[in-house]
Amino acid sequence: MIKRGFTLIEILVSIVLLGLISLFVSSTIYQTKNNNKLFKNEVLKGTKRESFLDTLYKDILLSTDLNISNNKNYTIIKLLSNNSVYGISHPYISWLVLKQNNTIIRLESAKKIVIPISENMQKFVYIDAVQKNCKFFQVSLSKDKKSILVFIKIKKQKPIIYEINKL
Amino acid sequence: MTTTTNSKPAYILMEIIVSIIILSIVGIALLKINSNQKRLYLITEKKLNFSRYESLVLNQHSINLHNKDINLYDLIKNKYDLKNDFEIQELKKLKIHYSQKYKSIINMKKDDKNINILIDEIILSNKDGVSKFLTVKQ
Repeated sequence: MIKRGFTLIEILVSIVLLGLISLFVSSTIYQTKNNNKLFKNEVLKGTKRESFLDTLYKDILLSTDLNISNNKNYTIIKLLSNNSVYGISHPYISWLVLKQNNTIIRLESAKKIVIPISENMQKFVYIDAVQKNCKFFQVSLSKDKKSILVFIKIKKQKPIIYEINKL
Repeated sequence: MTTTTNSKPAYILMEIIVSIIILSIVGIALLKINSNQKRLYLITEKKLNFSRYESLVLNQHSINLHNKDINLYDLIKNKYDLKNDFEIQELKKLKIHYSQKYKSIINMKKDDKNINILIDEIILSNKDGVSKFLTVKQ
Protein backbone atom coordinates (compact mmCIF):
# COMPACT_ATOMS: atom_id res chain seq x y z
CA MET A 1 0.00 0.00 0.00
CA ILE A 2 1.48 3.30 -1.12
CA LYS A 3 0.35 6.08 1.19
CA ARG A 4 1.38 9.53 0.06
CA GLY A 5 1.12 12.30 2.65
CA PHE A 6 1.26 16.09 2.17
CA THR A 7 4.67 17.64 1.70
CA LEU A 8 5.95 20.31 4.11
CA ILE A 9 5.47 23.05 1.49
CA GLU A 10 1.81 22.07 0.96
CA ILE A 11 1.10 22.17 4.69
CA LEU A 12 2.88 25.53 5.07
CA VAL A 13 0.94 27.05 2.17
CA SER A 14 -2.37 25.76 3.62
CA ILE A 15 -1.57 27.16 7.09
CA VAL A 16 -0.70 30.58 5.62
CA LEU A 17 -3.89 30.66 3.54
CA LEU A 18 -6.04 29.54 6.47
CA GLY A 19 -4.43 32.17 8.66
CA LEU A 20 -5.16 34.92 6.13
CA ILE A 21 -8.77 33.80 5.69
CA SER A 22 -9.43 33.48 9.42
CA LEU A 23 -7.95 36.97 9.96
CA PHE A 24 -10.29 38.39 7.33
CA VAL A 25 -13.31 36.47 8.65
CA SER A 26 -12.67 37.48 12.28
CA SER A 27 -12.42 41.18 11.32
CA THR A 28 -15.70 40.87 9.37
CA ILE A 29 -17.41 39.17 12.35
CA TYR A 30 -16.18 41.92 14.68
CA GLN A 31 -17.39 44.62 12.28
CA THR A 32 -20.78 42.93 11.88
CA LYS A 33 -21.20 42.59 15.65
CA ASN A 34 -20.35 46.26 16.07
CA ASN A 35 -22.75 47.24 13.28
CA ASN A 36 -25.52 45.18 14.84
CA LYS A 37 -24.98 46.86 18.20
CA LEU A 38 -25.17 50.33 16.62
CA PHE A 39 -28.15 49.27 14.53
CA LYS A 40 -29.99 47.97 17.61
CA ASN A 41 -29.42 51.30 19.39
CA GLU A 42 -30.63 53.23 16.33
CA VAL A 43 -33.78 51.11 16.06
CA LEU A 44 -34.53 51.53 19.77
CA LYS A 45 -34.04 55.30 19.54
CA GLY A 46 -36.17 55.43 16.37
CA THR A 47 -39.00 53.41 17.90
CA LYS A 48 -39.04 55.62 20.99
CA ARG A 49 -39.03 58.78 18.87
CA GLU A 50 -41.83 57.55 16.59
CA SER A 51 -43.93 56.63 19.59
CA PHE A 52 -43.58 60.12 21.12
CA LEU A 53 -44.27 61.84 17.78
CA ASP A 54 -47.36 59.69 17.36
CA THR A 55 -48.63 60.67 20.82
CA LEU A 56 -47.98 64.38 20.16
CA TYR A 57 -49.76 64.10 16.81
CA LYS A 58 -52.83 62.44 18.34
CA ASP A 59 -52.89 64.84 21.31
CA ILE A 60 -53.04 67.84 18.96
CA LEU A 61 -55.30 66.26 16.37
CA LEU A 62 -57.90 65.28 18.97
CA SER A 63 -57.60 68.46 21.03
CA THR A 64 -60.66 70.52 21.83
CA ASP A 65 -58.86 73.42 23.46
CA LEU A 66 -55.31 74.35 22.51
CA ASN A 67 -53.06 76.90 24.13
CA ILE A 68 -49.57 77.53 22.74
CA SER A 69 -47.00 79.79 24.36
CA ASN A 70 -43.74 80.24 22.47
CA ASN A 71 -40.42 81.11 24.06
CA LYS A 72 -37.21 81.55 22.08
CA ASN A 73 -36.55 77.89 21.25
CA TYR A 74 -39.17 76.03 23.19
CA THR A 75 -42.95 75.95 23.18
CA ILE A 76 -45.25 75.07 26.06
CA ILE A 77 -48.45 73.43 24.86
CA LYS A 78 -51.46 73.11 27.12
CA LEU A 79 -54.44 71.29 25.72
CA LEU A 80 -57.59 69.45 26.46
CA SER A 81 -57.69 66.36 24.30
CA ASN A 82 -59.64 63.22 23.58
CA ASN A 83 -56.39 61.27 23.37
CA SER A 84 -55.17 59.61 26.54
CA VAL A 85 -52.24 57.31 27.25
CA TYR A 86 -53.53 56.49 30.75
CA GLY A 87 -57.22 55.91 30.02
CA ILE A 88 -58.38 59.30 31.35
CA SER A 89 -61.50 60.62 29.68
CA HIS A 90 -60.87 64.05 28.13
CA PRO A 91 -57.57 64.70 29.96
CA TYR A 92 -55.60 67.92 30.44
CA ILE A 93 -52.25 67.52 28.66
CA SER A 94 -49.12 69.65 28.63
CA TRP A 95 -45.95 69.39 26.56
CA LEU A 96 -42.83 71.27 27.56
CA VAL A 97 -39.03 71.09 27.57
CA LEU A 98 -37.15 70.83 30.86
CA LYS A 99 -33.84 72.64 31.33
CA GLN A 100 -32.35 69.42 32.69
CA ASN A 101 -30.86 67.58 29.65
CA ASN A 102 -33.30 69.58 27.49
CA THR A 103 -35.84 66.81 27.98
CA ILE A 104 -39.27 66.97 26.35
CA ILE A 105 -41.89 65.92 28.88
CA ARG A 106 -45.57 65.12 28.57
CA LEU A 107 -47.93 65.72 31.47
CA GLU A 108 -51.37 64.15 31.60
CA SER A 109 -53.97 64.64 34.28
CA ALA A 110 -57.69 64.55 34.91
CA LYS A 111 -57.30 67.91 36.69
CA LYS A 112 -56.17 71.18 35.15
CA ILE A 113 -52.36 71.34 35.08
CA VAL A 114 -50.74 74.43 36.54
CA ILE A 115 -47.00 74.81 35.91
CA PRO A 116 -44.93 74.63 38.14
CA ILE A 117 -46.73 71.64 39.58
CA SER A 118 -47.43 71.90 43.29
CA GLU A 119 -46.68 68.99 45.66
CA ASN A 120 -50.39 68.34 46.17
CA MET A 121 -50.95 68.19 42.44
CA GLN A 122 -48.02 65.81 41.73
CA LYS A 123 -49.99 62.69 42.68
CA PHE A 124 -52.64 63.51 40.07
CA VAL A 125 -50.26 64.07 37.16
CA TYR A 126 -48.67 61.39 34.98
CA ILE A 127 -45.25 62.63 33.88
CA ASP A 128 -43.39 61.07 30.93
CA ALA A 129 -39.90 62.10 29.87
CA VAL A 130 -40.18 61.33 26.17
CA GLN A 131 -37.03 62.66 24.52
CA LYS A 132 -33.68 63.97 25.73
CA ASN A 133 -31.31 66.44 24.05
CA CYS A 134 -33.99 68.54 22.39
CA LYS A 135 -32.42 71.63 20.78
CA PHE A 136 -35.62 73.10 19.44
CA PHE A 137 -39.30 72.42 20.06
CA GLN A 138 -41.62 74.84 18.36
CA VAL A 139 -45.33 74.47 17.67
CA SER A 140 -47.02 77.22 15.66
CA LEU A 141 -50.66 77.84 14.95
CA SER A 142 -51.53 79.01 11.44
CA LYS A 143 -53.06 82.45 10.89
CA ASP A 144 -56.44 80.89 10.08
CA LYS A 145 -56.09 78.71 13.24
CA LYS A 146 -56.89 75.56 11.28
CA SER A 147 -53.43 73.99 11.03
CA ILE A 148 -50.54 73.44 13.38
CA LEU A 149 -46.88 73.30 12.39
CA VAL A 150 -44.63 71.11 14.53
CA PHE A 151 -40.86 71.62 14.35
CA ILE A 152 -38.58 69.53 16.54
CA LYS A 153 -34.79 69.33 16.43
CA ILE A 154 -33.04 66.67 18.45
CA LYS A 155 -29.25 66.84 18.87
CA LYS A 156 -27.39 65.01 16.05
CA GLN A 157 -30.61 64.25 14.20
CA LYS A 158 -32.39 65.74 11.21
CA PRO A 159 -35.22 68.16 12.07
CA ILE A 160 -38.69 66.67 12.35
CA ILE A 161 -41.29 68.85 10.61
CA TYR A 162 -44.91 68.11 10.02
CA GLU A 163 -48.27 69.80 9.78
CA ILE A 164 -51.48 68.79 11.50
CA ASN A 165 -54.84 69.90 10.19
CA LYS A 166 -57.30 70.24 13.04
CA LEU A 167 -60.43 68.16 12.83
CA MET B 1 1.39 -13.71 0.34
CA THR B 2 -0.70 -11.14 -1.55
CA THR B 3 -0.25 -7.36 -1.71
CA THR B 4 -3.20 -4.98 -2.24
CA THR B 5 -2.93 -1.45 -3.58
CA ASN B 6 -5.36 1.27 -2.52
CA SER B 7 -6.37 3.11 -5.69
CA LYS B 8 -8.57 5.72 -3.92
CA PRO B 9 -6.95 9.08 -4.73
CA ALA B 10 -6.38 11.60 -1.89
CA TYR B 11 -7.49 15.24 -2.27
CA ILE B 12 -4.83 17.38 -3.86
CA LEU B 13 -3.80 20.69 -2.31
CA MET B 14 -5.49 22.73 -5.06
CA GLU B 15 -8.88 21.10 -4.31
CA ILE B 16 -8.58 21.85 -0.60
CA ILE B 17 -7.58 25.48 -1.22
CA VAL B 18 -10.41 26.05 -3.72
CA SER B 19 -12.97 24.57 -1.27
CA ILE B 20 -11.73 26.76 1.59
CA ILE B 21 -11.84 29.90 -0.57
CA ILE B 22 -15.38 29.13 -1.80
CA LEU B 23 -16.57 28.44 1.74
CA SER B 24 -15.07 31.69 3.04
CA ILE B 25 -16.58 33.76 0.20
CA VAL B 26 -20.04 32.35 0.98
CA GLY B 27 -19.56 32.97 4.72
CA ILE B 28 -18.43 36.57 4.19
CA ALA B 29 -21.33 37.23 1.81
CA LEU B 30 -23.77 36.04 4.49
CA LEU B 31 -22.16 38.31 7.07
CA LYS B 32 -22.35 41.27 4.70
CA ILE B 33 -26.09 40.67 4.17
CA ASN B 34 -26.51 40.87 7.92
CA SER B 35 -24.66 44.18 8.13
CA ASN B 36 -26.79 45.63 5.27
CA GLN B 37 -29.72 45.92 7.70
CA LYS B 38 -28.33 49.19 9.03
CA ARG B 39 -28.17 50.74 5.55
CA LEU B 40 -31.76 49.68 4.88
CA TYR B 41 -32.91 51.16 8.19
CA LEU B 42 -31.22 54.49 7.39
CA ILE B 43 -32.93 54.57 3.98
CA THR B 44 -36.30 53.93 5.67
CA GLU B 45 -35.64 56.72 8.15
CA LYS B 46 -34.80 59.16 5.33
CA LYS B 47 -37.99 58.19 3.54
CA LEU B 48 -39.99 58.67 6.75
CA ASN B 49 -38.55 62.17 7.26
CA PHE B 50 -39.37 63.00 3.66
CA SER B 51 -42.94 61.77 4.00
CA ARG B 52 -43.42 64.01 7.07
CA TYR B 53 -42.68 67.27 5.33
CA GLU B 54 -44.60 66.13 2.26
CA SER B 55 -47.74 66.96 4.26
CA LEU B 56 -46.73 70.65 4.23
CA VAL B 57 -46.46 70.69 0.44
CA LEU B 58 -49.59 68.67 -0.22
CA ASN B 59 -51.70 70.97 1.97
CA GLN B 60 -50.65 73.87 -0.31
CA HIS B 61 -50.78 72.03 -3.63
CA SER B 62 -51.40 74.18 -6.67
CA ILE B 63 -50.85 73.85 -10.42
CA ASN B 64 -48.87 77.12 -10.21
CA LEU B 65 -46.09 75.25 -8.46
CA HIS B 66 -45.60 72.87 -11.37
CA ASN B 67 -41.96 72.17 -12.25
CA LYS B 68 -40.60 74.37 -9.49
CA ASP B 69 -38.01 73.75 -6.79
CA ILE B 70 -39.64 75.10 -3.68
CA ASN B 71 -38.25 75.51 -0.19
CA LEU B 72 -40.63 74.87 2.67
CA TYR B 73 -40.30 78.37 4.13
CA ASP B 74 -41.46 80.10 0.94
CA LEU B 75 -44.35 77.70 0.77
CA ILE B 76 -45.72 78.35 4.25
CA LYS B 77 -44.55 81.88 5.08
CA ASN B 78 -47.97 83.35 4.29
CA LYS B 79 -49.77 80.72 6.28
CA TYR B 80 -47.72 80.88 9.50
CA ASP B 81 -46.25 83.81 11.35
CA LEU B 82 -42.76 82.37 11.87
CA LYS B 83 -40.25 84.52 13.69
CA ASN B 84 -37.54 82.20 14.92
CA ASP B 85 -34.38 82.47 12.77
CA PHE B 86 -33.32 78.89 13.36
CA GLU B 87 -36.68 77.55 12.26
CA ILE B 88 -36.72 79.79 9.17
CA GLN B 89 -33.18 78.73 8.18
CA GLU B 90 -33.95 75.04 8.57
CA LEU B 91 -37.17 75.35 6.57
CA LYS B 92 -35.29 77.20 3.82
CA LYS B 93 -32.79 74.34 3.62
CA LEU B 94 -35.54 71.84 2.83
CA LYS B 95 -36.21 71.89 -0.88
CA ILE B 96 -38.65 69.80 -2.86
CA HIS B 97 -39.19 69.58 -6.59
CA TYR B 98 -42.91 69.86 -7.33
CA SER B 99 -44.54 68.49 -10.46
CA GLN B 100 -48.27 68.38 -11.18
CA LYS B 101 -49.57 66.83 -14.38
CA TYR B 102 -52.95 66.04 -15.82
CA LYS B 103 -53.56 62.30 -15.51
CA SER B 104 -57.12 61.51 -16.62
CA ILE B 105 -60.79 62.48 -16.68
CA ILE B 106 -63.66 60.38 -15.41
CA ASN B 107 -67.17 61.11 -16.66
CA MET B 108 -70.03 60.36 -14.29
CA LYS B 109 -73.76 60.84 -14.48
CA LYS B 110 -75.70 61.98 -11.44
CA ASP B 111 -79.34 63.08 -11.58
CA ASP B 112 -79.10 63.43 -15.38
CA LYS B 113 -76.12 65.73 -15.00
CA ASN B 114 -72.70 65.04 -16.45
CA ILE B 115 -69.94 65.38 -13.93
CA ASN B 116 -66.30 65.46 -15.00
CA ILE B 117 -63.77 64.43 -12.41
CA LEU B 118 -60.23 65.55 -13.14
CA ILE B 119 -57.39 63.51 -11.79
CA ASP B 120 -53.94 65.09 -11.49
CA GLU B 121 -50.72 63.40 -10.54
CA ILE B 122 -48.41 65.20 -8.11
CA ILE B 123 -44.79 64.10 -7.89
CA LEU B 124 -42.64 65.36 -5.02
CA SER B 125 -38.94 64.62 -5.10
CA ASN B 126 -35.62 65.54 -3.56
CA LYS B 127 -32.44 63.71 -2.56
CA ASP B 128 -34.27 61.87 0.25
CA GLY B 129 -36.98 60.31 -1.89
CA VAL B 130 -39.75 60.48 -4.46
CA SER B 131 -43.49 60.27 -3.80
CA LYS B 132 -46.49 60.24 -6.11
CA PHE B 133 -50.00 61.36 -5.23
CA LEU B 134 -53.28 61.74 -7.06
CA THR B 135 -55.57 64.74 -6.63
CA VAL B 136 -59.21 64.62 -7.52
CA LYS B 137 -61.26 67.68 -8.42
CA GLN B 138 -64.59 68.30 -10.07
